[in-house]
Amino acid sequence: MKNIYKLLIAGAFLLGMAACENETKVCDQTLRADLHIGFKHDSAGIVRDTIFRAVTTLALNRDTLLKNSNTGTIYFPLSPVADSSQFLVKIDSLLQGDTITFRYQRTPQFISAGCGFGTTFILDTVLFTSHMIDSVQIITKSVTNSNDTHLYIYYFNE
Amino acid sequence: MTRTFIFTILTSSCLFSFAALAQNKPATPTAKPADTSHVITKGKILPEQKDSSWLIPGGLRLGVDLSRFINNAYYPYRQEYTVVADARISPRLFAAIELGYTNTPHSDSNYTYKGNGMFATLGIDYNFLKRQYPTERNMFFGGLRYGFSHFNYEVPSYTQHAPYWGGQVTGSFPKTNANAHWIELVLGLKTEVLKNLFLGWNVRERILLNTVKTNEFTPLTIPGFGSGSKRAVFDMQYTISYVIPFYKIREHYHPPAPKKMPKK
Repeated sequence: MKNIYKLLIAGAFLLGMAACENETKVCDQTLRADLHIGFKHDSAGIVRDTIFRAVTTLALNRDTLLKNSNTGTIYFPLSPVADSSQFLVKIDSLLQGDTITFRYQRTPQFISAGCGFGTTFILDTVLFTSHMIDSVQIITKSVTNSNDTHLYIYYFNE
Repeated sequence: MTRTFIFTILTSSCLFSFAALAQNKPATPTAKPADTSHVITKGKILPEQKDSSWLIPGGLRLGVDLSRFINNAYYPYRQEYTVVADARISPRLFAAIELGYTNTPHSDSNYTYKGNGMFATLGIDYNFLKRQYPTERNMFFGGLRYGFSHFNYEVPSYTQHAPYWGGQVTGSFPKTNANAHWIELVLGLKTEVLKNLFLGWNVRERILLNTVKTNEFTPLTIPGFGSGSKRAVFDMQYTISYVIPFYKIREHYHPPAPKKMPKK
């Protein structure tokens, strides 16, 4: 009987070593708080979600985020070092791009033990040029994760 | 003469060994004892009345949780020291207490973290194991605990890297005091491997009762509980402990239920 206990004790000892994860080593990238934008387009009087064939996005004076990409949603990493960010959206390489300016409030926030700190944003104002964009609709002002759609951009008929 | 001597020796040794066997019999006598009139009554034979009682060893068991040291080797940010103690209050019930101190140092490219705190858990253990002899102290137990911890934590500095924008944001989070309460369910074994020395392990589930994390900041660990970001955690303990047997508990004989008695 005693031997059974000893075996159980030894067995559990090994089991304990593989128990849980080191939380400081794992950063779940889905916890990013990028601005999530959807495209809307008026087609024959009905406004619906749309996909453009060659979308190019970039922040002004920065590297390209998307290049000629076939997509209906775009993500903008708002700047955590300034209270506003400017982005260029081109829905087709042949068409003229539009500049969108976001003004917002920043709040530093602990994301997780592995990721450390990040910034969440509360949108204040959105300004845009109207070469191709008809209007912009803010769905959610607080940008705390990238799952929610924060903004819709409505485009004119080509 | 020699023959008589040898015969006496043999008979008495047989009788003595029988007496010795009788002493090793289970302390709970059978409901219908056999006729014992021919047994030598030398040595102690437990009285076989229905209200009989006897003493079983009690004592204070003091130990340390060894699993914390292994934990620390795998997770350097969890420096935990736990002492465990329990005392027998009835044949099957034990009052249990755990006390501990936790230090949580962490530093990486994103942030540095400092935290420390004390914790205590208080509760009872119930021994499910049927003793094979009255003084057996091996345990297979289930337990219920209430845990409390008071701790503080701070982030002396953090850095947010913004590779796309070029630049970084730095800041700090001030020292914050917090309390945590939780309930703990325990299931485990304790084995007497040497006289008064016990080895044991148990698994436990902790359920947090209050909310510690805030919108701005969640502690990395809650002392005694574990992860600061979870509502419930699973953990295990591996203990080495020593019993100081300074008191005894009287156990009373309860006759078995009538339906279980053999019919004549």
